Amino acid sequence: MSAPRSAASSRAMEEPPVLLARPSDDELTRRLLRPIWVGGPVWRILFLVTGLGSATMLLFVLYTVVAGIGVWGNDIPVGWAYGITNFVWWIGIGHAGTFISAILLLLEQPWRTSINRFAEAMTLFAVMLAGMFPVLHLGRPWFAYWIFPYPATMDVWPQFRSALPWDAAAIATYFTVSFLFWYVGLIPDLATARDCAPTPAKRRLYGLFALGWRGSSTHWSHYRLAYGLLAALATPLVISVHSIVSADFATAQLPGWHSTIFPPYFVAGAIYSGFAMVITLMVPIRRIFRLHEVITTRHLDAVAKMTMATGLIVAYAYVVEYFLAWYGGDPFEHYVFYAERLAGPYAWAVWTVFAINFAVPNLLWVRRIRRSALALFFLSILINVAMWLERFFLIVTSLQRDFLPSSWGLFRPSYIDGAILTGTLFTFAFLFLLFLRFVPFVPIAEVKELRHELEVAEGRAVRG
Amino acid sequence: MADLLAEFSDAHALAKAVEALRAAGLRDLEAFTPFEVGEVQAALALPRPRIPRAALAGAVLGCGAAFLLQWWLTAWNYPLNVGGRPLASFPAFVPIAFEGAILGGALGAVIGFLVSCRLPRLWHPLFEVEGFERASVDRFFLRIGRRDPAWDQARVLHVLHESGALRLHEVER
Amino acid sequence: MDRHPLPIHPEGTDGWSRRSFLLGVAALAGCRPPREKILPYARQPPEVQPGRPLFYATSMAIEGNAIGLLVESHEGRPTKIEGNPEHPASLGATGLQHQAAILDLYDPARARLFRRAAGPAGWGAFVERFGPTAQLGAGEGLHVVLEPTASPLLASLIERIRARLPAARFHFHAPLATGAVEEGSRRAFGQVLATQRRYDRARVVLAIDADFLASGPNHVREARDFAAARRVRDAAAPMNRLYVVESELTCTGAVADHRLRARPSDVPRIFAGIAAAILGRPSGLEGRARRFAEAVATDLLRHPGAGVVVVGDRQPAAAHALAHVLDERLGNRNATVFQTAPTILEAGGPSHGLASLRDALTRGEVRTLLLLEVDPAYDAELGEAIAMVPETVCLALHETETARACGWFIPALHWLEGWGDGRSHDGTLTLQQPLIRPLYGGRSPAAVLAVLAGEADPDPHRLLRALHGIADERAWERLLRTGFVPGTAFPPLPVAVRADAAQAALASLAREAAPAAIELCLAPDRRLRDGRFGRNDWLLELPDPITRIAWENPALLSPATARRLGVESGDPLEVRAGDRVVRAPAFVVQGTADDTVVLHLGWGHHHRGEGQVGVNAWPLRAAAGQPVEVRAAPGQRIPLASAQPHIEMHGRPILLHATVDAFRADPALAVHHDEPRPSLYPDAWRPSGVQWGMAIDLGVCTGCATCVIACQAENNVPVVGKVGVRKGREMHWLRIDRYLLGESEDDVRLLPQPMLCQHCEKAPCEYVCPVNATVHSADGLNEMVYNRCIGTRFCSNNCPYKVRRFNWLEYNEPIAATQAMQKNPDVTVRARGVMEKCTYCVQRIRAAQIDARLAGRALRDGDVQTACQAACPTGAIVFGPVSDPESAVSRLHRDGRSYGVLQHQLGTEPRTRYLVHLRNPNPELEA
Repeated sequence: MSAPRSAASSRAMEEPPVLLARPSDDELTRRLLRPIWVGGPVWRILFLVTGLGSATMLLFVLYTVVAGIGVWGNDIPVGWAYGITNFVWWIGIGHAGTFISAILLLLEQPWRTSINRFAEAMTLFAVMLAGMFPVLHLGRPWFAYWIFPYPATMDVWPQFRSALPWDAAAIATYFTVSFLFWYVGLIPDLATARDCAPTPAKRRLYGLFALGWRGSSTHWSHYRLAYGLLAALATPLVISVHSIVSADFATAQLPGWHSTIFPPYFVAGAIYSGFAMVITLMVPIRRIFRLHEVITTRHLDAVAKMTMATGLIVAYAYVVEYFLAWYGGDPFEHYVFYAERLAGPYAWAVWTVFAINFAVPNLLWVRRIRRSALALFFLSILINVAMWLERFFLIVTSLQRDFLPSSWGLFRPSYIDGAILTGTLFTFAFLFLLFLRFVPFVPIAEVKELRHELEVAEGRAVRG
Repeated sequence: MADLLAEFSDAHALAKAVEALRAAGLRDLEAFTPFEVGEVQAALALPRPRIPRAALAGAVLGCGAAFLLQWWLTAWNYPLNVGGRPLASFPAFVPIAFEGAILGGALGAVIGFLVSCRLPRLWHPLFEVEGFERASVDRFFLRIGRRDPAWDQARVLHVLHESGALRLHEVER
Repeated sequence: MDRHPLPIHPEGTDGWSRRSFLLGVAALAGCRPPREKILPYARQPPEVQPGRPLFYATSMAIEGNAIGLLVESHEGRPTKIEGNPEHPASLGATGLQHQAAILDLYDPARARLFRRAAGPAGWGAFVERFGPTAQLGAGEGLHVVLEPTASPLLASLIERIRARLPAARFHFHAPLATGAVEEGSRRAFGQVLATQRRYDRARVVLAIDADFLASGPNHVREARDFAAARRVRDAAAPMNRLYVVESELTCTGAVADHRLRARPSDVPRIFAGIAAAILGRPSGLEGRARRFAEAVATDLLRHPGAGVVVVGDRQPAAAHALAHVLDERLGNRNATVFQTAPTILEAGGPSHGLASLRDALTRGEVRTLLLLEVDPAYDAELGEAIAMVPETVCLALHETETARACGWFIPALHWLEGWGDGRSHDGTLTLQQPLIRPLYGGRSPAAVLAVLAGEADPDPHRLLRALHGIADERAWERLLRTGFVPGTAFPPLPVAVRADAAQAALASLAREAAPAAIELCLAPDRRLRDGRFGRNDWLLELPDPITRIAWENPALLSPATARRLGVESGDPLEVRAGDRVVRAPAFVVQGTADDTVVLHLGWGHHHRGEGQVGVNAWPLRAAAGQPVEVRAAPGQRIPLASAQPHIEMHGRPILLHATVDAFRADPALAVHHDEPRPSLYPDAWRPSGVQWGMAIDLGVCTGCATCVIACQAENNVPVVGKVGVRKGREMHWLRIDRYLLGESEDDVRLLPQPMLCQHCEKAPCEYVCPVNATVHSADGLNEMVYNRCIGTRFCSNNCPYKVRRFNWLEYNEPIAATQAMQKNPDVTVRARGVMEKCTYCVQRIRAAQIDARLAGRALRDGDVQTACQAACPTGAIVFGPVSDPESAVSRLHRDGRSYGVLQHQLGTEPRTRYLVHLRNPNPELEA
């Protein structure tokens, strides 16, 4: 054993490898493409279940539109509740996808490679579901398009001082850019799928979407640049989107909403919950499709670290909020933070959130937890719950206890609120199953490239 | 006159071949690889793509359009007293202008990418080459243009043989 | 008839089928002027212009006390009731029930079928049975029950019936009347007299269990007078002082300067103590009551001829007699108080009350019983007894419980459909002219009595003219235009109390009922009165002015009593009096007397949409005097439909209040609550031209909530039902908040604050609307553009006053054709999914502006009156151009008491400003 080799191996010891074993390109390709050629019984069952779930949600959505938003639990003073909570929650989950694919790409983190594809898909589906709520929660959803500037017969335009048109712009942009990013990254793999297609039909289908990609050196150089540019654009975008979402609250003057730390606080929270969702998805996929070579402990560890970092920021934001509420000396804000949230009707939610979001990130200091798929999975579920509850109490408690005690009320959700929230989970799973079945969910080209680079590196190590 | 298409089993060999051929003065070379191979790209010394300019143009356009639109609609086309705020509340116009910049930039980049790659193009003579589908799996191809002024059949074949090409194909350009 | 190009429904079609009726209404589309000639709508009157409302003078009587009204009519359909500014009992204002009465006219649940036994019958049949040709002998066994009335028309008819049927018996039934008032007068003066009180001349007012500001027989006028003496225009102005002794917290007690809560059995004792102190005898009271009594006595004695002592109906006759004695002793008679002849027919006579009828029924002497617009089966447990009577006739607006027990049923006319007359409390002769042809046929009590009187042509219109002997057409027209005969108020009578009255009264008060472990206080509901308005959606949905609970009548307890019984608000409670049991949810009200349970009468009717609303407490009244027992009943807590679960102000500067002395020391005491906030934004909008604003004087607002109903009627505000209110979705554009003040249970003040859109110049709702659906108008209104609203509700979230209302569901569908007729055509009926809120009655502003332009003159202060302002009995609400420095509203905005709610905290710069509530405590009681 020569010194450098051992050095390399010692590196490998402190950080588990991003790619176990060295399957041949051919083998790698076949394994990674297998799921889109043959679906198993498990997939079919899940597909049916989630499909039914999604259909049920659509029924409730339809009912809401036909009967009126009054079938939800909202009231005066609580004009926003589940709808906007779900919106913020889902859009937040989306953020990790972009974060992984864009920011980590720019930071040249090799471990992102195996997981960025489905993280991006997660983003797309999350944003779709998030986008449903701002429309659905309207009194007259069929006029949602009035929020965009188009020459209407009324001659009236949107009111751009409101944060809601900002939202519309942000979400539309976010979805478009995420989609382009995802699709551009997909083209080489679609070409691979085309070239390995078992049947002419599939060959044609994937050929169509591959746009005639030939993997020529010119293609690659342009591709790399375009992909890098998209990453560079998506990075500020992902920051801006949740900052703007936070403006829905921060630009209002309600105690507990009107706060200047919301943008960073929300962005951190978003990425935090997003990484949690990545874990929630990554662990079972890895298990089901036996991808332990591609999605290794290294990935778990890295994602866990990200979760920990963002989680700690969130926890810090809580502390700052409470400090400012006290230090600011505004009686209304003080009441919401110290009376309503800590001891009000939804105190249980607040304390649950604090418990989880202070404990979990700190648990992740422990390496064994960071590298245990099961533990991470469990914790990620906790985080998802906590982050939903966080948005919920943030929205509802401020509304319930605003300025005039005479108008204070209490929010009681209706069963339809709950049904639609649950439904979105099914729909998300449904879309994700479709994705797993029809799209190469691990970027084949990138993994191969990674493998190549590793070999070269190791080769050098050996030769050197 | 059809071009020559050489098939390699590994990227390193392809890179070697490219270096040798370029040393022989050949310039009309194009490599096809399942993934981006740094050495090959380097050896081919490709020109710098123009996509960034497209992206920049898109970003500037998007940003400007979004900002001016908001200003005009709010302050000039239909002025309304909203909460006693000034008609031109510029700080409020920033977020949408920013999103416009990102959207414009992204579209610029993608369109620039497709145009400069001449995509989409669903059919290409290369697809007729038997075995070329492995170009996206585990084989590495090199197209050598016969029209290249520095073309010297014997030399090219020698280099390809030296660098360990598996097979040679004819391909219409 | 050919005057009207309208199908006229012929005789005998009183019982229309629903379908034909609806078709009819649909065809008539609401233009149903009455058949007789009313004015000014006579032979193509030039003043009728489509789209322009007309106002007709008429009147409405509650328990015989008429009030002059002006009713707004659009193309022949009355839509809104206003007070008659010239009428002494109204002075332009109205009470709660007067505002809501318009809804009863169009109530789709009104009775339509004229029936006899099971089958339908016609008016003809009734005339045949009782008319001139009928053989009724001397009228043996014929009993007629009707409301106490002051109507000369009815009086004359009754006289004629007595002539025709000498053996017939009349009974005047008003379930709330106790006869104590009249008996008290008899004991004091030897005769039954009415008492007129002039609160505007009083400096000290003592109210013993009397809610005279919100529910007295003449409360609209008296509230106006009271406010006149209470309103503090400047630091020099005097302010009256109000002492209240009561068991239940009432609108009057909630704004009193000093209030003594006492259980029902203690009230007479305490009053006797106060009287004794005034008459220079030992009060015989202890502790707090004694201090209170002595302070009140000295205060009253210190203001001879400038005090009023008012005693509530529920108090014993002796208390009333004693009040008369005190009036005399304090020199108030003919200064602030004077006696007149009673307006009510046979007031205090044996014909009042149901005692004699009960005897006759038990003795089986009643052969024919006519019940005219009374419901003794509901409020006096006479159902079975009535059913036993061989022949019974019921005249009622609805299929009441009495109707169900009767053989004959005649649908009654709503008072807006019939002719009549009456007297207001001061005796002013007041006319009642119909505004619309009967929607469902029906007859008025006058018509029925006319038949009994043997009238060949029982037409109230003809009879009325004949009675008042006005042959001259012009004179008659003049009368109809004014709606009343000025100068017909009864003159003060020179009377003196008997020498022995004081002694007797004190003695009998000493003998009053001994205190029990727990006592029952049955009070008329502030909205439904005795139950006659128990089917009125607006009043049912109106949160009680004190408890803020709608759609039900919980049993009210003091916190201590609730603790003792181990119940909390919403827990089921069982109230037992003798063998009568009533179950109602408990509700804790600060300031209720301990060991007392308060139940409101008038509830328990069946509502077409809601089933039975509330519980009927009348049976407990019937069991008066029997031992009362109250305990927690099994069953879990019911969420009450409360419009305001939180009454603490948490020390926030929302309802500002001070003592009048503090105000005199610092006449600009509100100014520092009003400093503008520094802003990063330049002041972009300098208002020019006419600018609108409102000022609300918290010092004189009694929280009676008349304005709320006025707003609802004017602005087509929908009703959401009990579930809606429970969910916090009530739609009132204007609400009366209540905030709890006072240091202890014994010193509770529950101050009212009308809360409506503040029309902020820096409106927080506007800048968050994504679609410009709420924006500012050039004249300073915060406008809501319904057809642009997409319903994000961001505006409501960001409104610090939470005055915006959202159409969560479709609240205006389905709607009966008649209900549609009530809607104000000048105001959009809002669809599902849009936000709505107070508009400052923009339709009235625009109308006034158009009138001014047509008249070629500038708008003057007072041209525009908002609905709430017009209806307010105390004139607490003032609206007008703030751009005119001389306008009333500008002067109030400049007042040192004027402030904008949370202006200093949020810088919203509201156009609706409030005047600090002032209290005038007695220093001797403050220590």
